[in-house]
Amino acid sequence: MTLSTPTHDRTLLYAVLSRLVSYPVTTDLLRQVVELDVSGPAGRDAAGELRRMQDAISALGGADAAIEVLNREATRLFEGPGQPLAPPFGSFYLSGGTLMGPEAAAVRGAYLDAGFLPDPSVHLPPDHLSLELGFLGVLAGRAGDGPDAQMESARQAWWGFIAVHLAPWLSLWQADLSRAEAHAFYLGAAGFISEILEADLAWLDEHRPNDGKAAERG
Amino acid sequence: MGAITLSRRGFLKVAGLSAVGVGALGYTTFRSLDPVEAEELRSAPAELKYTADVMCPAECGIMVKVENGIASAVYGNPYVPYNAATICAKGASGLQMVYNPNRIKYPMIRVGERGEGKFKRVSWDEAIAYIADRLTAIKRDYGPESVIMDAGDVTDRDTYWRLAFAYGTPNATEHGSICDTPRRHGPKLMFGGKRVEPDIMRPLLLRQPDGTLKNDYSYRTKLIIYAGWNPFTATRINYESRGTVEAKLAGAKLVVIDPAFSNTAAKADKWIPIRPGTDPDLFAAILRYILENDDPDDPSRRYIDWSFQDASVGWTEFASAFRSWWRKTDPINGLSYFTPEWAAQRTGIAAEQIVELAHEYGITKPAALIWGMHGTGHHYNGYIPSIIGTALNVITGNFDAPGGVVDTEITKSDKGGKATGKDFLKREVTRTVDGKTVTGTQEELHMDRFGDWVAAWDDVVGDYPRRMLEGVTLRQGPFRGRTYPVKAYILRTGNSVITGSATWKWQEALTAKDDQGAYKVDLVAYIDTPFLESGMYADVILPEASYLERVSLSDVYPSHPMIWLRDAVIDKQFESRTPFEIMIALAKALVERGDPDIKPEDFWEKYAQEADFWTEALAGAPGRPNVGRPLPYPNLPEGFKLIGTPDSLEAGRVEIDPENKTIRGEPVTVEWLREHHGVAVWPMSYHRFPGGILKTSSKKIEFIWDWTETVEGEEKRFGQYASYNKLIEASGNVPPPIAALGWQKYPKTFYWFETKWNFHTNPEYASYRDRYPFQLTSGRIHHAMSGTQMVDWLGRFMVEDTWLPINDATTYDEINIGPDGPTPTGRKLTIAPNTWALGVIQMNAADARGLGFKTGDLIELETPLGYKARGKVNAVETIHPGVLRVAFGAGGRFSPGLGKNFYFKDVTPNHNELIDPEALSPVMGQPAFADMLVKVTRV
Amino acid sequence: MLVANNPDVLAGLDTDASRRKFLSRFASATFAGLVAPAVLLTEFERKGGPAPAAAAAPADIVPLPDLPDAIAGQDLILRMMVDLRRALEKPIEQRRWAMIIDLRKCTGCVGCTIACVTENKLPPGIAYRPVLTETSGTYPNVSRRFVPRPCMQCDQPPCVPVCPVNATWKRPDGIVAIDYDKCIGCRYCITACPYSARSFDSGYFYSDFEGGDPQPYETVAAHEYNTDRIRRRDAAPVGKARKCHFCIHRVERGELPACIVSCMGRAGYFGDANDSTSLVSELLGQPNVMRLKEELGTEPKVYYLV
Repeated sequence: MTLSTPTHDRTLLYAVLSRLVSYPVTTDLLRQVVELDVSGPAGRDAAGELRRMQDAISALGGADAAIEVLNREATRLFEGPGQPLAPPFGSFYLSGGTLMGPEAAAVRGAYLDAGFLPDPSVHLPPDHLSLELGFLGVLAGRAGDGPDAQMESARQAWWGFIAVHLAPWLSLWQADLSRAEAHAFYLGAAGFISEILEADLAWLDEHRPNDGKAAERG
Repeated sequence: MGAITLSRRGFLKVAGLSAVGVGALGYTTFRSLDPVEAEELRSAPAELKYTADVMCPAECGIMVKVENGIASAVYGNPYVPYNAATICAKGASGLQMVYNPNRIKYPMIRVGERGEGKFKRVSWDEAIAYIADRLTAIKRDYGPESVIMDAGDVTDRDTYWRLAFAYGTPNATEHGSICDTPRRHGPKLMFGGKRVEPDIMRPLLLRQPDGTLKNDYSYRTKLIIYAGWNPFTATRINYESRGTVEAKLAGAKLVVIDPAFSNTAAKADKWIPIRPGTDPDLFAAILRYILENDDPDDPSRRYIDWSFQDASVGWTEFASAFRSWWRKTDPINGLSYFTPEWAAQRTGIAAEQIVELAHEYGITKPAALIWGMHGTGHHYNGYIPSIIGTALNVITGNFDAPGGVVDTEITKSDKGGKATGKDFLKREVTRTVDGKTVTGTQEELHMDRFGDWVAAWDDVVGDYPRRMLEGVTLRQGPFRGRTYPVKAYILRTGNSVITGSATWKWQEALTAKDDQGAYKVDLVAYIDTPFLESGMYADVILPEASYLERVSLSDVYPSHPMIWLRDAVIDKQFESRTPFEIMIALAKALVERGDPDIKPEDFWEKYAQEADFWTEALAGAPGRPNVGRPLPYPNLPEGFKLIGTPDSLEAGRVEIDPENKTIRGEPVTVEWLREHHGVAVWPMSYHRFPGGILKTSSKKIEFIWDWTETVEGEEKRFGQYASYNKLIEASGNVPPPIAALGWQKYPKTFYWFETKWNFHTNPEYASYRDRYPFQLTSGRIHHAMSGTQMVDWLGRFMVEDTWLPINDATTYDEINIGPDGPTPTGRKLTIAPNTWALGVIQMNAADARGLGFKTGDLIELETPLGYKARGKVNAVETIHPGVLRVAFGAGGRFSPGLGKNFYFKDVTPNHNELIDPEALSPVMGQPAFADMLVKVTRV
Repeated sequence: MLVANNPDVLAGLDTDASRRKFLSRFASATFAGLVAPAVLLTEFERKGGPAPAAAAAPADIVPLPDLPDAIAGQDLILRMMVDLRRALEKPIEQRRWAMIIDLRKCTGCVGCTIACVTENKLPPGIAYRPVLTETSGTYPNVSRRFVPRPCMQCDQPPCVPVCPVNATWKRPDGIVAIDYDKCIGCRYCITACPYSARSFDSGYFYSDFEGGDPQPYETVAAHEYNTDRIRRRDAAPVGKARKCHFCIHRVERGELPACIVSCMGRAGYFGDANDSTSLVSELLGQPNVMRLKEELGTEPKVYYLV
């Protein structure tokens, strides 16, 4: 069974999500956020988070006016100095508060298993949220194109990556953002990411072959 | 494939995305790997990669263990004979520099005033534009010579020099200027060299009688004298640690002359405590004793090996000038200069001991007399012991003799060559001077060599503050009379605010404003990995890739030619960039702004990648002649210059050019080094002179430094001072620093003058004896150079008596270097008492008792000029009475980038707060760091 | 794919999708803890447990450095590495590791201390091999000696009998080892050692003192006792006793202990005292050999040349 268009769009969306947590915040990014639209009853929660981001941009006076504030906020939350308030790294939450811990090695392993690595010009730890989201975009692209076996394998990897490397810590990260009194834009961004991943995880789960041979194929 | 359940839940659709729109966002892409590559990377075990250290300028060859892209341990490279698998505490703790939380991560631009430490993160484009805009304006309004490129303390500076020279300024410098230039002076004058070290580097690669090359591990030295030199702590010459103790076990005697009982003194057969600043006196007494008592016919008095005269010129004049002082009486003690009694009165060493030392040195062969950074290099008259020491090594027959001394500057491999861009200095430029148009070379605009410091071949960073405040006036050469301001100071891997002479003077110069309220120095740029005090005064900060993240070559000092590669072993961290990338980025930005002198074919069109630049820098390696015994390459012409890899030279895969007298093998490249454990080693030999390794104008050892001879019917002028004196003769302007000595030009041969701020030897300071009774010296804590104190591992262990875990319990509000520079983190931290090492003031225990102090008391030092510093006393038996030792860079550190040391800045002394910034040694301008007097009060 | 094999993950996903969100199901700390060790460990982490004290397979032994031949002396590192290979060919119970420190050559540089810290990824507060400094005399007749002090690997170790859970024992090759998993952190052994060679890991990270997250050099796996462990606040060796073990994980790969290879004075020697042709055996035959606190009868395997 071929699944094409939906997952192709996902590549683009994941790229946007990835940019929400990488430096710097640009007017292009904010304008893109303003243009997003989620419809349908299933997307109610996601739409709500998206609106939070869009309202935050308006309240700051539009994309051009907002970037100074949001860049400072991103620095405060994600970069430091010292220990960041809501470090967007898997190792921090899953490997005992470390940087480049075993989770980072595992994530890198997942990239290699799929046959990819981040572009060498990027110097972020492999378990940085922006890279992980970008990786999902790559898998989503593969899941919508090509021979059935490849698409199925990509869907499995996509599901597995969210389940193992994102799901266990995303809400912990969101909790830290809330504790840090993050700007509504970032509370919305984190919420939006969370909703998209949850929706995709559920959809992928239903599209996994349930003949008990998942383990062999996995 | 089984049945797939129909979805009950639809795929969540999100509208508003387009490929074009998203593409413009600049997100991270992933690259696809082929399965083989992916598998290799997946299962890659830990690797050992070869590179070169940078935790101190010894820059030893190291192997770094890399696991999953992380550097996890540092070891010495066994293939590099210089350190031969060893690594010191600093080298081993490099990981805490590379992965330090206070590392500069992103480019930053200042907000607020210089010195406040307030910055904001910017992109590379913005930071480069900031610099390029100003450099372009400065060139247009003042001339490119108004820009100083100070490539700081780390020696892989060729990319920055190339950029600076191409831009048009001759004012590019590096660390040497504030290191120990007086110490280097004797070898420079007499050999054309710089660094006299003992022949104790093992293994030595020597040609054997059977034609093979083998590693010699035996020691021949019978006596090593270290005067004012502490190699066990200042492990800058790595092999002097193992070499000294192994030579001792092989029968050498070790004498250490030092006001303090250093770690090196701890292994000495004899420690001779000496008053600071009196090394010249001791050396002069030794020379006088040897000249007066040498007897070639008496085996127990055969001190001098007169064969040196065949390989030298001017000895008679030198000796005569030296002897002329014997007829004079020293006003400070009424004694004849250079007698043992005279030296005893000045140095505080008993006359009998001086005689014993002189005799022992003269009669023991082979022997090595070595003088050091602090003992000679940091004194106003340090040239004198350097000259006498060099002469002593020569006349006793120990120069380049087995077991004697080697001038490692003239035996090391060439590097840099065309890549450094010195050819740009020969460019013809035009300026207006007093209304007239004058043409000369770019070099002739140099602020020191054509300004007040004609003989300063290492530039005069110590005098930059004055020129920043007053401007530069050229007094020599075709452009004499021209004045220009200093409008930009680019500082890379250096910390001149702490190390470049008096701290307060640098702060004054960098924050000085003109009448319009603008900073006099328009642009201050800081390029480094750690965030040091000088960064607090920068307008723009660029994060430089650490030494584990870049490719380059280093200045190293082995006994025979060898060169090893610095290579990137891990990815660049955060947004740091290599010196090569920074050079290209700035060059491009300047060209974009219409710079007429920087050409793409000299930069990015020439060097496609970083390795290409350094391969060009290797093109002339080793560049040393095939001379000496045993002859390095018996199958190749003797005396010809060797260029090429060790294996091609060994195999005879060479082209011989009889006209230019060169032997050209296959060129050493970065690739070749990568394939050979990172290092190339060529053979050792001895007796590599006359001619050979010497770089003097006459190709002999020169005891005279400016003379004229008729050569093939033409009058030729010889000597290391000749070119400087020519300039003075042409201009009629005597450089003020030597005019202050009463000189009209640089002397022809031996000279003598007193040091500053020393009441034992200079009557000018006699009046300070009672009120300022202590001599203040500097010392080296290997662990705590200006740039490495943020390393935790180096802060927990005691070093000698100047670095002690003696802190009080301290609670502080933490400040870290974040993306916007120094930023409070909101954490309150506590350091338990006596767990963290502080720089302390080493004082003789009897002196301390007399003043009522005990170890740990907080005291204040004050100089006659009114400058003060505080620190805790360390009352010990291990230092000469009347002397205090405060280690360089050990205290008063006010950059938060220093980590925990920052929080102790008020209880640790900054040595350079106390020095006299006017006391710049007269020939080369080195700050006289170790010449000062203080009084002591309790806080 | 790892995840497919993990029953906990699958169980979590197969729960009926009610109003509860998927992601919050994953969010519990317990779940994270379950998922982390079982699923997220990379290959090398899953080895676990102390390795049996067996000889390394020959394939695992690192190659000797390829240096020019020696004349008039020897390359000490090469000699010791050759000695090591001979010892590794013997059954473990026939080896007796010994270390010699030549105090005439130790320059007090503390390089060995730091080399050990980086090799074994030691946290703040622990140094297996500090350098003791002894100063004596009155100016100008002063003397100073540097004494590096690793674990003595005593033949009669006072630390072994006092352990209530048998977490420490003397191996057949002489190393006194610690089983981090068995150790309960009671610290009797730390008190029992007359050389103060044992330390307690209190669980500090460098970032506790200087901001930021734990840095890569403290999160890369240490290889002590041939077991790869990444240091975490909630796992061994935090809360356990720790000490020098002669870098046995290096030795069994044919590499010298980190302190020995790094020494600036070339003052350290290491090898098999049961091999009469080894360098350490040669040196042990000299008259200027001593050990610390001989009178206690601990029979240290660390000797000093004076």
